[in-house]
Amino acid sequence: MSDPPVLDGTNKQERYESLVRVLYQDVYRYAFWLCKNKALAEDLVQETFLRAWRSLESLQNDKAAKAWLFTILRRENARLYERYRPDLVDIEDQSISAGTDIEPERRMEQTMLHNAIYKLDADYREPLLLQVVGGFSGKEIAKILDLNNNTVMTRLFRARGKLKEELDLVVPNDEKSNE
Amino acid sequence: MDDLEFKERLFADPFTEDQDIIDAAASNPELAQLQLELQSFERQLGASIHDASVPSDLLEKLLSIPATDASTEARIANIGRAAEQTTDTAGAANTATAMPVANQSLPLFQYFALAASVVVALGLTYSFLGNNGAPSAADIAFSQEVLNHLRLDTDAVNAESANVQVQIQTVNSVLGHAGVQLISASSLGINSVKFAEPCVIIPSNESAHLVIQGRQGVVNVIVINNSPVANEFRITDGGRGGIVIPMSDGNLVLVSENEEDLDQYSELFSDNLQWSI
Repeated sequence: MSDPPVLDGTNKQERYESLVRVLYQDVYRYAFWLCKNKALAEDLVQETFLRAWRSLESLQNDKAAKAWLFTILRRENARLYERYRPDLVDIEDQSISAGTDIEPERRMEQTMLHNAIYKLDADYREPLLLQVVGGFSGKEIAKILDLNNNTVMTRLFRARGKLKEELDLVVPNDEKSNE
Repeated sequence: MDDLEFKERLFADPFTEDQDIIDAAASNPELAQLQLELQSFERQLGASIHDASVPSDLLEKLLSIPATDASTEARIANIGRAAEQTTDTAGAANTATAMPVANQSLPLFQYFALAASVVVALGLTYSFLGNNGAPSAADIAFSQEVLNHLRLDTDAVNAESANVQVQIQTVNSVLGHAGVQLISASSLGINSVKFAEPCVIIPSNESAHLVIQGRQGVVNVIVINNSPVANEFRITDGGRGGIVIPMSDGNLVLVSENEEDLDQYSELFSDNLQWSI
């Protein structure tokens, strides 16, 4: 896993601010790739940190802060999906990079990769995002998603296989892989 | 370890530090090449995912949450205390309940500003009134949020079947929370109010929730001191029907379970509510 956050401060306010400063970018990126929409992602992140603020006392171990926030965010996203079904949006309409100095060829590669990520089923996309954005290990992902470790590793394997297949690259043989 | 297992484990974690994977790559150039390719792809994947630009004002918004939350809690608590004091002074039984609303339904920030292409509401039908066109996706999202609040506000649901009457002072206090005054309390038939609490439909915008006894059943009345909806329209959600009404400085939402004639309540509240914001 990536380096655990160090939450400075002794009172609740300081601890919360430290939590925000250290983790908000990762939380936002996870939200963005989870719900595929910038406005919804920002809403989800604000909801997540509002709930985090209100229940910060329940976070006993600062090293678990990122997993805790990601879990809150997943629940908020699920709650949203119970009520609404957002349309899938075209990645080109949701251009995520603010930079305009990217070479056209690299921009094209990025767009293809973004589309490939979007096309992944949630079962595959979620563990992949937790690993790449959150830096979680297979066991940690299994705990967050309430799955067993073998299932997580299989889904990670298949997620990358599907990405490479989509990008017309080398694809592994997954005949042996069963969840 | 055979080649297939190597590939499976490497695809699951291209930067794994498992010793048997490292050893296998060291003893087989083809596997070592695959490892390099996958690690290169992983860097590309990571860079692509981290390319998502974070809104520039998000940090500031998140840091302001404690202050905003404290302010909201304090205002709601003040309303609660005022209602209790008023009721106690009148010497009547205090029918006001605790102020639970902030945690009942947490609407999404800025949700109603989303583009129409983003949201498709489920299970609801809508019809619009007048010549102003159909409700937008934002209108639908707003009304969906109201209906969701009604489902989650268990105190209000419980009050529907309880034999309670909320004091006029409490009703005025709660409506005042949403920036509204009753012009004529008597015309409202105040004895039929079964529930009156502040609520939160849109963060940072005060709302009031009343449950009144109608002719066929209860009628939920939501007053919000913001105008997310510009055009009047009706909602049908299973056995419930509702009407969303834009007013001078806010919105009024009426929802009933049965075939209540909501038009009479629309007129009643439109004639008797005065916005003070």
